[in-house]
Amino acid sequence: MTLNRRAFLATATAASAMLAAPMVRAQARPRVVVIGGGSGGGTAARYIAKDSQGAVDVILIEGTRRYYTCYFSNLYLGGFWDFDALGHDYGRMITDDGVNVVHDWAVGVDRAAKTVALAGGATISYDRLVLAPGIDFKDGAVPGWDVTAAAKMPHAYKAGSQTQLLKAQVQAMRPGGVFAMVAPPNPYRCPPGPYERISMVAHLLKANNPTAKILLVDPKETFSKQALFEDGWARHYPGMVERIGPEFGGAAVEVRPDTMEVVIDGTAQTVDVCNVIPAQQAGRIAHLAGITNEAGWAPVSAFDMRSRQDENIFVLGDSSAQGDMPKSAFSANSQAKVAANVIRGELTGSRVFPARYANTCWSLIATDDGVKVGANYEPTEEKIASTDSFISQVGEDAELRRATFLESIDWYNGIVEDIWG
Amino acid sequence: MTPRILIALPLTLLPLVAVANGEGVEPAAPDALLALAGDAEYGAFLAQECAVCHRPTTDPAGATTEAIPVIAGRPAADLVQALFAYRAGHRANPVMQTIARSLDDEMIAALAVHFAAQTP
Repeated sequence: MTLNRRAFLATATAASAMLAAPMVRAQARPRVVVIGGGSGGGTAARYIAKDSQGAVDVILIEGTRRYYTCYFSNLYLGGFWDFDALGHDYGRMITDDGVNVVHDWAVGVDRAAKTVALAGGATISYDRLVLAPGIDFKDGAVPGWDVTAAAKMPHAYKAGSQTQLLKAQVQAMRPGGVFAMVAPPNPYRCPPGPYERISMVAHLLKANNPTAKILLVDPKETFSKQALFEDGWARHYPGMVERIGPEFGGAAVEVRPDTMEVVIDGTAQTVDVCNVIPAQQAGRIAHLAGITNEAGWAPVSAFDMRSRQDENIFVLGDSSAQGDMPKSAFSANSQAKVAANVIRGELTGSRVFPARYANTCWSLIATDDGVKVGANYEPTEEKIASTDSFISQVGEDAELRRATFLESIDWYNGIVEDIWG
Repeated sequence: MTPRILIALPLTLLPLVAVANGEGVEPAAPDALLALAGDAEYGAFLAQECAVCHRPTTDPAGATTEAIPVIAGRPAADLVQALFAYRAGHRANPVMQTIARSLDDEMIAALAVHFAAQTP
């Protein structure tokens, strides 16, 4: 069969229509903008892009080109993990999954216009916005400390150079010196984190500076995995750790970075290293978007992580106020998958399944002495509610503790691959 | 094999099927559960929860300790048996027990059909 002119024209027209179609679709593609490339935002961006197979335009706004996880940064302090192994970049998310990663800082959200303003000057429109900015510190939370003091008294609670600085300070401590930590009030990122850090600093000092002391100043009556940590400190680091709780002034602390003093209930003490972990709130962009509450967090629906202030905005991870889940990478990853499923469903008509949430937090107390706590959660009208949980027990044998530690390594490798590809 | 030793074993050493081990047999999943047809698309959603720990492939360059096994590509019957055994408390890991207790039969069947179809 030969093509006559009419058939040729028809074919040509169809071909040009087919060629044009992708452009038309590209222009009409719904867009999700994700602010924050950590465990919540990274997971959401990657899963929406991967599962929508190009049907959704996903733009991830992240200021850093290499993201250092706060989780496992304590193991770097203790000498159990390489610093470089804490860092993850965005190359595979871009090439394998089609996420458009823009390395810039979001400085404003216009909810009426549905646009995000970037520090570099661009304005980006969105159909759905995912906010996952993590934590910021509350100004004035520890009198005498602000970010200008962070070179003398590091927080090391956003991982990276701060973590390296804190380790260098611990390694340079004079023999018999004092390491002090000002622990944060609830709620804060990684509830067992400060206490795992105490364990890892103790491990480092036990090997290099065994007469050194650790002073833990804590505004809380109780803390995460308390029985497990206190049992571990007594077994591995006897006499090294002193905790001052709120009944002895742990909630009335001031620091003087210039003289390296910690003032507890009016009494000044000179220390050699001071790790100040201030009270926390949602990352600043959540405040600029006008979706935070009086406590400084962004309330969300437990059914899909949608902001209670704006139906087009979802908030993930540490910055959200969702109920019972701890502020952890595992939680943020779990929440991101629920939100990604809902967002993709709204924008492409894909199936939406009921929300499910889970969390596990592993902590290392000493060599091969790992513990864990975890729970399942279900959404209710009021909050994400814990339904079932477990925790390691004091007195477990060494084999089980070692197995728990090895499990945590596999988890780390699993979650960073799940987030960054 | 005492329960204590069973707890201490890495997960990969735990049998994925019911076996006699000298002191008892892990109860087998009911035939009705094994015969349940899983919804693969639902399984793909549920499996996202597993992906936070269970890596999709065995990467020789990866630093895995094999404490958490790769489950992609395992036979569906093995996966059903594993989740049934964790849910019933026959296998010891509390992370897996807690997750399995949140799964009904339909979810277990969906997960099994999803992972069985994956290429590790």
